[in-house]
Formats: sequence, structure tokens, C-alpha cells
Amino acid sequence: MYLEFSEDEQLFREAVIEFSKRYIEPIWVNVDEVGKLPGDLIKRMGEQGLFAIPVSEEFGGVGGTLTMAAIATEEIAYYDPAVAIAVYALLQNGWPMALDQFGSDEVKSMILPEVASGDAFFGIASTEAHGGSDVAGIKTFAEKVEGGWRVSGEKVYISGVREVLELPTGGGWFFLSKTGSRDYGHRNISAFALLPRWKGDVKEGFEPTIFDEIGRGGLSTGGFKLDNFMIEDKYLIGEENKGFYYVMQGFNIARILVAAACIGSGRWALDQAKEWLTNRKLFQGRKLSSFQGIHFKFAELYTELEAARLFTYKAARLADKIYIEKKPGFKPKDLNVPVAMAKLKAPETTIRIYEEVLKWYGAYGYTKESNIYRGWLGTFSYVIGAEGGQNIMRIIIARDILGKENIRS
Amino acid sequence: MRVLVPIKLSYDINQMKYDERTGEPILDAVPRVMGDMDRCALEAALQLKESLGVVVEFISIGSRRTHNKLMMDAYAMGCDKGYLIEAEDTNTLDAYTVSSIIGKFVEKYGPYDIIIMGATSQDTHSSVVPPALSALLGYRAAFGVDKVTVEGDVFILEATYEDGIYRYRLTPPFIISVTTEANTPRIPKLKDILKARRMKYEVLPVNDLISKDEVRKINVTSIKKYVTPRRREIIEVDSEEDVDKAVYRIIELLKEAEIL
Ligand SMILES: Cc1cc2nc3c(=O)[nH]c(=O)nc-3n(C[C@H](O)[C@H](O)[C@H](O)COP(=O)(O)OP(=O)(O)OC[C@H]3O[C@@H](n4cnc5c(N)ncnc54)[C@H](O)[C@@H]3O)c2cc1C
Repeated sequence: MYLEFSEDEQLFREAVIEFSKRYIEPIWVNVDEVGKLPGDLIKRMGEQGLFAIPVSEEFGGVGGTLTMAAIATEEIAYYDPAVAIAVYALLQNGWPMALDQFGSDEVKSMILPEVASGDAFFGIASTEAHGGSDVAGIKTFAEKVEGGWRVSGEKVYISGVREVLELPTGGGWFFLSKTGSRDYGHRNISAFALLPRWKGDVKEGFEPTIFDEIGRGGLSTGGFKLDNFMIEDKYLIGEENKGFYYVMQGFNIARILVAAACIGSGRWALDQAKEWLTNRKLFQGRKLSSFQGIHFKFAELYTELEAARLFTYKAARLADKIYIEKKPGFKPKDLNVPVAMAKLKAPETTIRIYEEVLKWYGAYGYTKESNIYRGWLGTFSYVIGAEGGQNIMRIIIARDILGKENIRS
Repeated sequence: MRVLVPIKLSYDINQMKYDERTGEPILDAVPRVMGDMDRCALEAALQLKESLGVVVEFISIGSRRTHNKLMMDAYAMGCDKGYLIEAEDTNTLDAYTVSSIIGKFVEKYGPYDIIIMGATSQDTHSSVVPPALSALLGYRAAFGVDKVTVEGDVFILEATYEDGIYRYRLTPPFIISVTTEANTPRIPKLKDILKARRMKYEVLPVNDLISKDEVRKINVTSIKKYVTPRRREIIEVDSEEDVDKAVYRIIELLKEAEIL
């Protein structure tokens, strides 16, 4: 595939770059240090049209594409290499798009315009303490009652908990729960739009906590307990017990943006390195870049990053064909392998870049002043497992290429 | 009220590429963009649209192939109507020809109450077109404006020149050129970019406005990369007494370089 952006995509990219230079680049270090996204920045991003990009206009979205959301995420991450702001944008595009695809019109028209404007957050709440990779093993249970569902359980490592509590409208998550039976498996999982706070106080039965993390300081990660929390019927996403299928598609969408965030941050790190290696001189005036041990590595990482970028936009274009253009002959499962490859390649390449760049910077890289470590810690969240562990990507690729029956042990 | 903003697709001087051997620029490989001052001119017009309800139209000279993105950009910022005067090789048109084309356009498709331009283009920096156009049209004018305010029917335009700040009080019709001090241009929103994709601009052949023999071209004899020679001097400061000496030496050097 030859990667070329169309004229409107180029214009949009230029606009995001200008926006990021003006409003993100001057504050990214502070956001990471203080550990909070400024409310006025979120509002401004909403006004600029950086949320709900691939959501249809009919439901308050921007009416763009996932490719455009990837462009926005990549460029924001370049100017916020610690990636909290980029990840915020990523979540605010990926999961609203998933809701737009599978939710009811009533709930979409309620939630999506508020997300687009920046007044509400809508992320993903799937992970539980037993292990996020094992979605079929979730224990949260929703019991059917008159007019809705009574839910009890606990979610952990969920992005956006503080934001839901503090944003003007509030918000919530694309939320997974067992329904019908508590047995292990994926055929008894349903998806809901869980809104513990919406235009008012926190609803009864919702008990949040915030975790202290090592990176991407601006965006909160936390957990919550649900104790007989009531969800009205209208918030069921799609059909009962089909939640697993919807969330897997949601992950495919969000993982493309995860890859885009890593690429933007990695590109920033390589640009810093380029400046450093071509200016720092030692051994009687030799530039660091003149040593083969260094420029070979640089060339290699530069190539790897470009490869990751091609994977990412290839997957984004395919997702647009499936979900935005709805072209006949393109199915959601066609995305599995291209997306898993992008999500496998981009975070790992970016982490390798950071590890080299930190070394190239020498002792200065180990100081907080150099700021390089912020990008390293921020993007590390994606090799750890946010939006799916790396081995899960390997499993998806192996399963779809070799066949399910051939990879079972 | 109708406001016209002429905009140019300029070479992005931040991304110039040169032949390493000859020092000649490789213009075909240089991306072209809307110049910063042109963007400020559009912003100034759009601010008048918001405050006074004027209609903002824009015009550029070029081909559909090269200028489509520029036209979309202006629409995405919020302009109401665009015109593309179709001509090839617009980079070699001389400033008088450009002024004549815009002048004829204004006579034919006007009247326009206000014309706002960038004070100078990003690549050639001649600053000739705005004054030439005002002369051709017989419009009052103010150039290098960095502040626009409106008091009733009167527009107050402030420009900073070497000998001080000039304040012009003009009533339409007039033409002004603005600097990057005038405003901070808005960033097109994605929704507006998507809308701009569908907006049509009018394409007019250049020969409808001026005849072939009126087209004058500049003959570029040579463009070369010019690198200001750098001079470096290390002034060592080891003790407190050295500080004064160092300061004097710096002043001396700045005088030698005619900076002071
Ligand atoms: C910063 C951050 C933000 C997050 N935000 C959210 C959020 O908003 N919503 C949400 O639902 N979750 C979120 N998560 C959780 C994330 O989805 C999980 O971390 C992820 O699914 C992995 O789950 P786990 O951490 O429990 O690790 P585990 O599932 O216990 O996995 C541990 C390790 O084992 C590997 N592994 C697991 N299974 C296999 C296997 N079959 N074969 C080989 N190796 C395997 C994994 O790759 C991983 O390296 C976030 C995580 C982080 C770090």
C-alpha cells in the first residue's frame, strides 16, 4: 500500500499540528508532572473537533474517518510524547465510534454530542482483577430486573475515572458484564453504556478509586466497585450476550489509535535524537552520529518506525472501509490481523527507540530535565497491556493465520 | 459589505531544498502553502464578518491541480466564496501583472468595499502588489497594518513604521495589507474542512481578465542559497574582573557587526 494522505487529510493534519504547537507543546511537561489534564484544554480540543471524529454527524460527531482520528492522535502524541493528552483523544475517538456502531439511537444522541464537545468522557471498562487479557473470565454480573439491570462487581486499571467525576457533564464507559449466567465464557457477556455520573452527582452504588501510576501522568487510571448499581434498559449496547463481539471490534478500532499515539511519540524521540547526535561532539570533535554503532541503529529504528506507521494507516484505511464507508465485501474480522500487527509493532518499536535514545543522551538522558523518560514511561503503558497485551496480539495473528485449532496447546 | 482577500500559494520557505553542488533551489520539490500574512489577511476579514456581517470572498491565481488545497483551506477558515483565476506558471508572473489581474477582477466582479491582503508574500517578499492594486483601482490604502478597529463607519488602521506608529482613519472603499502582528489566525476545524471539501469555487480563465500580451513574466536569472557567514569568538570568563572586559568585548563585536 502506498501511503498518501488526501488533500483534506493533509489540511486536517496541518490544523492539528498548528493546534498542538499552540496549545499542547507549551504545557505537556507540566501536564505530565502535575498529573492532570487542564479543563480548558479539553474544552478547546472539543471545539476544535478533535473528539468523536469518526462518529456520524447525525449523532453529534464530526463525521470524519478513523484515518483522521489516527492522524490527530499521532500528531498530538508528537507534541505530547508523554501521551496522556494523545491517549485522552484516542479514547474519546475510539470508544465513541464503537458506541456509534452498536448503540441505540436514543443513547447515542444523549452521550455522543457531549463527548464531542469535550464535556463528557466515554472510555472502556473491561479489565478485572483476575487478568485483563482474559475477557471471558470477567466476574461482574448484571441481573435482569424490572426496567433494567442490577450490577455488582469490580473493574480495575480503568482510564478516565477522575475525568468522569470532574468533567462538566461526567461520562462513563463501554462496560462489560456477565448476563444470564456467571459461567466462564464469552457467550454470556453483554455491553452497556455505564454512566455513573451524568449531569449531576455520582449515582448510588458506584465507588471509585484512583491509582498512582509511573507514567502518562495527565490522564487518570483507577478502578470502581459496583454495588447493586442500576442500569436502565436503554443503556444495553446492541443485543444481550453479544457484548464480547462488540468489544472485540471496539478494541480493533481503539488499537489503531494506540499504535498512532506510539508512532507520534516515537517520532518525537527520534527527532530529539537526530538533533542530539548531529550536535554532540567528542573524541576530538567527532559527531556522535558519525559512529557506525550509532547511525546504523538510528537507521534501523527509523525504518522500523516507518514500517509501524504503514501498518497503522493500512489498518485505519481498512477500518474506514468497514465501518464508515460500509463497503460490501469488507468484514469486521478482516481487521483482526492488520490491527494486531500495528498494535504489536508500534508500541514495541517505540519502546526500543526510547531505550536507545536514552542511552544516546548519556547521563543527561537519566535526568528529569531531558524529559525523554516521560515518553518512555508513557508509551510503556502500551507494551504492558493497555488496550490489550502484546502476547494477545501474537495470539490473534497466530490464530487467524495458522487457524484456531492449530494453536491450541 | 463585500470584502475581498487575494491569497497566494507561496513556497514554504521553512522547507526549502537546494542542490548541494550548485546552491540552486529545487523549487519543484518545495511544498507550497498559504503564506502566514495571507492567513492573517483572511483572519482580519473573517473578524469583520463576525463583527459587521460582511461577506468574505477570496481569489487566487493558479491551476486547479496545484491550488485546490489552498482554496479548501480558505473555505475551511470560514470564507463565503472563492474564485480561482486559472493560469499556469503563476510563480513567474510579475507583480504588476498580478495586480492587473486582480484589478480587472474587481472591476468585473466587484464592487468590493474592502480589499485585505498580506503585507508581503512568504516567498518573494516584494510587497508591491497591494500598493499597485490600490493605484490601479484608485482605492484609499494603508499598508503594513497591525491593528484594525472599527468606530461607526470609520475603520482605524494602525501601522508601525520606522518613524513611529501611523493611525489611518478610512472609510470604504479601501485596501489594506496586514502583518502577522494583526491577529492570530484561527485554525480550521475538522468539521469545516470536511464541509470545505464539498464547496465549489468559481474558475475563471485569466484571459477573460487580461489579454495574453498584457501578461508580463519575470525572468529569474538565478536564485541561490545565501548563508550568512558565521563568526565565532569565545570570550573566557575566569574571574569577576573578566566579566566587565567580556561585556565590553561583546559590545565591540556587536558594533563591528553593525548590530549596535
Ligand atoms: C495505563 C493503563 C490504562 C488502562 N486503561 C484501561 C481501560 O481504560 N479500560 C480497561 O478495561 N482496561 C484498561 N487497562 C487494563 C489493560 O487492558 C490490561 O492491562 C490488559 O488487558 C492486560 O491485563 P492485565 O494487566 O491484567 O495483565 P494479564 O492479563 O494478567 O497479563 C499479564 C501478562 O501476561 C501476558 N499474557 C496474558 N495471557 C497470555 C497468554 N494466553 N499467552 C501468553 N501471554 C499472555 C500478557 O501479555 C501480559 O504481558 C489499562 C492498563 C494500563 C496499564
